[in-house]
Parts: sequence; C-alpha cells; structure tokens
Amino acid sequence: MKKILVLSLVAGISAATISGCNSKTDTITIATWGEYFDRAGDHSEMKALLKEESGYNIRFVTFADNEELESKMKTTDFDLVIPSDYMAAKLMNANMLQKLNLSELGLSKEKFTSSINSVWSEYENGELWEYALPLAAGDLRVMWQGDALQGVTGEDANREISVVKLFDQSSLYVGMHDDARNAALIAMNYYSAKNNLNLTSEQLGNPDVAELEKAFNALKNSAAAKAGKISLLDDTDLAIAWSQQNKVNVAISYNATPLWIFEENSDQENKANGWTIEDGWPTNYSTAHMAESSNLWIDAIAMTTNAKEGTIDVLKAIWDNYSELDVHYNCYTSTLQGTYDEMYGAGGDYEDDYDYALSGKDDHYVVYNYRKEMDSNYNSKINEKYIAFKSSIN
Amino acid sequence: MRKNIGWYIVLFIFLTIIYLPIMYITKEAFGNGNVVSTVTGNETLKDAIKVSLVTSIVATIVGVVIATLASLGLTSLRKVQRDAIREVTKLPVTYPDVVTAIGLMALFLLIFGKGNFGYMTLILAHISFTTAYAFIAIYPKAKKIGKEYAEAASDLGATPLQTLFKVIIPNLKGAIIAGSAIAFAMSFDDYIISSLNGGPLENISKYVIKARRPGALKAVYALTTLMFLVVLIGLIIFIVIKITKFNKKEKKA
Repeated sequence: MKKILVLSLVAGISAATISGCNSKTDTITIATWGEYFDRAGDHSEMKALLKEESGYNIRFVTFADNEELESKMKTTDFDLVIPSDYMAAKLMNANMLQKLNLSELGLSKEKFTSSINSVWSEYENGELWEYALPLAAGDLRVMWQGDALQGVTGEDANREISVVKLFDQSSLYVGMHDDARNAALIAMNYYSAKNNLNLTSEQLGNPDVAELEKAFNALKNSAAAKAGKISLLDDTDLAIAWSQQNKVNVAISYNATPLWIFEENSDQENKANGWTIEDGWPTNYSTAHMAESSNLWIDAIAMTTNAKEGTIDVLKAIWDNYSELDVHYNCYTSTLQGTYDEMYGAGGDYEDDYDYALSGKDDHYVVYNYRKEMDSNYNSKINEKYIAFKSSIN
Repeated sequence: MRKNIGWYIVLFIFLTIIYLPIMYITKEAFGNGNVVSTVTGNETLKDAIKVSLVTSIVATIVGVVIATLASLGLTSLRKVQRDAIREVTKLPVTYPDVVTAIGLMALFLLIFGKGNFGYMTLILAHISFTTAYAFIAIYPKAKKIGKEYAEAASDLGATPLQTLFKVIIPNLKGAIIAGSAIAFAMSFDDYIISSLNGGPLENISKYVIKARRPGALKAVYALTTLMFLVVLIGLIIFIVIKITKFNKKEKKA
C-alpha cells in the first residue's frame, strides 16, 4: 500500500510539473526592467490588461541592467525585450532581433518627438528603427525636498540649475547613480561650467579620456566631495536614501522615478522623513533640469528572432496602452509627439507637471556615441577613471 | 542557580542570535497588515513560490531515490571501490555552487540548445546536487545495514522487490527522511544554480534577492514569517508526537 502511495505521489507530481510546463505555450515572455510596468513589484495589472487586449498570457522576467539581459538571452528565448538604446543596437548587430514593420503598428518615424527621432536615427545610420522602437525616455535631473536649494523656484518645465551650485557647497548631501555613463556626464557638466569651457553636448557626452580624468578630478575637489557628501548609489538605493533624507538631500536621478517610493511607504513613514503628503504624494518636492546638459536614456522595445507567433499582438497592445501606463508607473516620458502634446501641452493632464517633461532646449541632450562607448579600449579606460573617482570619494 | 548563571547568559545570547532576526521580521510583517493576503496578493511572488515548490519536491524525490539506490549498490562493492566512489560523490558538495551552475548551463546548452531552459533544466540541475546531499545522509546507514539483511530476507523466500520495500527501506527510513530534508532545504534555498539554469523561471531566492524596494520587502517579510510559522508548527507537532510515544513506552515499561 505504501509503495503504491509513494509511486502515485511521484507520478502525480511529475504529471503536474509536465502539465504546468505545457500549459504555458500561449505565454508571451517579456524581459523588462525590474518594476518597469508597475510600482509594487507585481505585474498583475499589466498582465491582465495585455491578456485582455491580446488574448495571450504574459510572463514578465526582470533584469537589473542591460548586461544581465544580454547574458540571460544566451540561455533563454524571450519574445519581447526592453533594452536601453545602446544594448538594442548591440542586440540588433548580433542578429538577436527581428525586423519590425512600423506601419503595421500604425507608426512612422515622424510620429516620435524630434529629440527622440534625432537620437534614434544616430544608431547605425538609422537602421535601428527597423528593429527596435523607442518606447520610453528619461533624462537625468535634480530632485530635492522643500527649500533645500534656496533661490531655485518657479513652476515651469524648463526650470534649470547648474551642477556647480550643487557641488560647490558643503551643506547638502548629493546622491547620484553608481553608473559610469551618468557620473561621467555630471563630472563633465561640472568641469565645463566651473571653467567656463562652454563644451558642446557632443563633447560633454563623449569626452576624451584625459578630459574626463580632469573632470573627475575637478568634481573630487569640489566642496561637497571634500566634505564627504557625495554618494554613488544604484537606482533603488538612491530613491530610498533620498526619500529618507538619509545622506541624500539632493538626488540626480531619472525624471521622477524615485517617486515610486512614496506609494510603497506609509504616509506616516513619509511624514517622518519630512515630506508633506497629500493623497499619498509629496507636495514639497521639487525638480529641475541640469543647466549644462543631460543624458537622455531611451528604452526600446523589440521582438527577438525566436519570438513566438502572436508576439506582435502583445507588442501592439503595449503600444496602444503604454504611454499612459508608463507615466503612471515609471514616470518616464512618452516618446510619441501626439501623446506627449496631449499630456504636457496646453490643456493636457500634466500641463504644469514638470516631473515628466523633457527639456525644451534642442541641444540639451548629449548624443550618445555608442560606437565609441562600445569600444572596449575606450570603455575600460572610462570605467577605470570612474572607479578611481568612486574610490576617492568613498 | 547562581552557579549556572554564566551558562544561562550564554544560552540567552545563543538563542537571541538565532531568533532575534526572525522575531524582528515577524513583528514587521504583522505590522504591515495581513500576512497571508500580502503573499497571496502578489502574483510574482506566488509564481516564485510555485517554481520553488515544484522544483524542490520533484528534485528531492528523484534525488533521494537515486541516492538510495546508489547507496545500496555501493555497499555490494569491494572496500577500495566503495571508498573511491564515495570520495567522488562528495565532490559536488564541496566545490562552489557557481562551478556546478556554469558546468550545468554549458552542458544543457550543448544538449538542449538555447531557448529550452525552463522547468526541465531547472529540475535536472537541482537533481544533480540534491542527489549528492541525499547520498551523504543515506549511505552511512546503508553501509551499516550491509548485505546481511538482504541475504537473510532472500533466504526466507522474499523476492528482491519485497526485500527492498519490506526490509531495506524500513531500516533506511530515518536516513531517507534526513536526506530528504537536507536535499529539500538545499534545493529550496538555491540561488546561483537556479539563476543560470532556470531560463525565464524565477524561484523564491531570485525574488528575495531582487526585493529591496519597500513594497517587495513587505511581501518577503510576510513570506518569511509564514515559512517560519509552518516550520514552527511542524516542529511542535513532531515534539508532541515524540513525547506521546515516549510516555506510552514509559507506561508499558
């Protein structure tokens, strides 16, 4: 009897496992950033919406950075992937993405905002348009609590602050991303503004190694760095430290992405950290663009070469719903001109909301020379300078 | 009492070190609201629990069966062969998980190819190390039993299957249970081997490692509390059964 029971148990579990695996044949797998489509770390709302629109079950697999996605793609067939700009180009060149038909999706290049269009067209002479679509964009900007930055007021979307003002005082803790590309730009902004060099966006975004070393040295000698008040943290830790005003008063981060934390903390916790909360949202927080220049990170959506049949339906469903969802969940900016105008233009829901809007200046964003950045020799030297800077301030 | 006060302090420190973290998490979890609904309301965490349970249960069952048969087989070999094979079986337990993980990933890529990573590769990977852990627990007992029991049963007319199920396995029961517990715990906790061999699947360890945001952390605290309570209840039941059995024996005596 016991023998029969044990054998039945083994057979039952094996059958359940096998049937569990097979029942996922109509599942489309999307590899995306952690908590990209929602703020609670649970994609249930987006899954339900995409299931309703496309008829497919959706599985989200998250990754922490582009390199992790690239590594996972070596063993796993995803159907849709959402890499950043340079990684989309890299995957395209590795024949890991399949061609997309813009018109089939009701799109054309002209429908995208001019800044997105010009940056995207830089990749492989515009060839990237055929393989990956710019889905969301976020820039680096400055965020602070209350009147921490005295003298910076106003409500307009183009409010600006020079990084010199941030780093040339020792009273504020400044937090920035632990990321070579972002830290390098902030250092170059500081170096250029401090020495009145008036470097162009191209020069700021893709510096020579010697120039970058000078920039990191300048930042290292700033009042904030000398007082030990610069922190380099990853996206999540930066948001947590800033929300708690714990060694980060001012954050240089993507759009308003750290704001998710106010939804996850209780009002009591937020108030204890000095935030004035109304309907779960802080009213005493401010943001401004960096006056010098900013990185514009563009996340793309693409179908892999092994994507299952029906993936295009899910892609369409994402496009039809994405912009609203993205602003709500991720605080990134829509890449489509029409949606952008509807949201941030006159009469738009976010007309006075500079959290999401991009800088109105055409030359504000650096055009990322990814070919140069992907060069292993250049890249390793940039990383070397960044690591030296990081060690010197910690 | 005064004589033993030093030992009481040591015992208190020992228990504090062991239980303080879980007490803190339990307090936080209950402070965040309903523990069960925090876990069941999180789709990603529910999927991760399912992946962990299915993988660990199947890998433990298969691993223990293989380890039991291997242990029995090994007892019939000569001492030199036995010792050599036993040392070889220790290797997977002694070298770092990352070596196993990369080795398995390379092997699966060769056999199954890219894109076929999922339950099958994850379970096979877990079987590879649960077998080794189960073997370490089962083999010493199998060696102790030796061939004598099987030979005696055979002399009395039992078939090989009857010998296995009515003589050998009942004698190995304690070791099999211990081996299963170790194998299950190692499989349930695993991170690196699952990360490289699970394809799109995410188990509890992978979920927990990513969960640094407050919302996800609350779900992790709730899950940890639930798991602690399940183990605690299991332990209490086990102790009660033991005491009841002991009392019955005492009465008989």
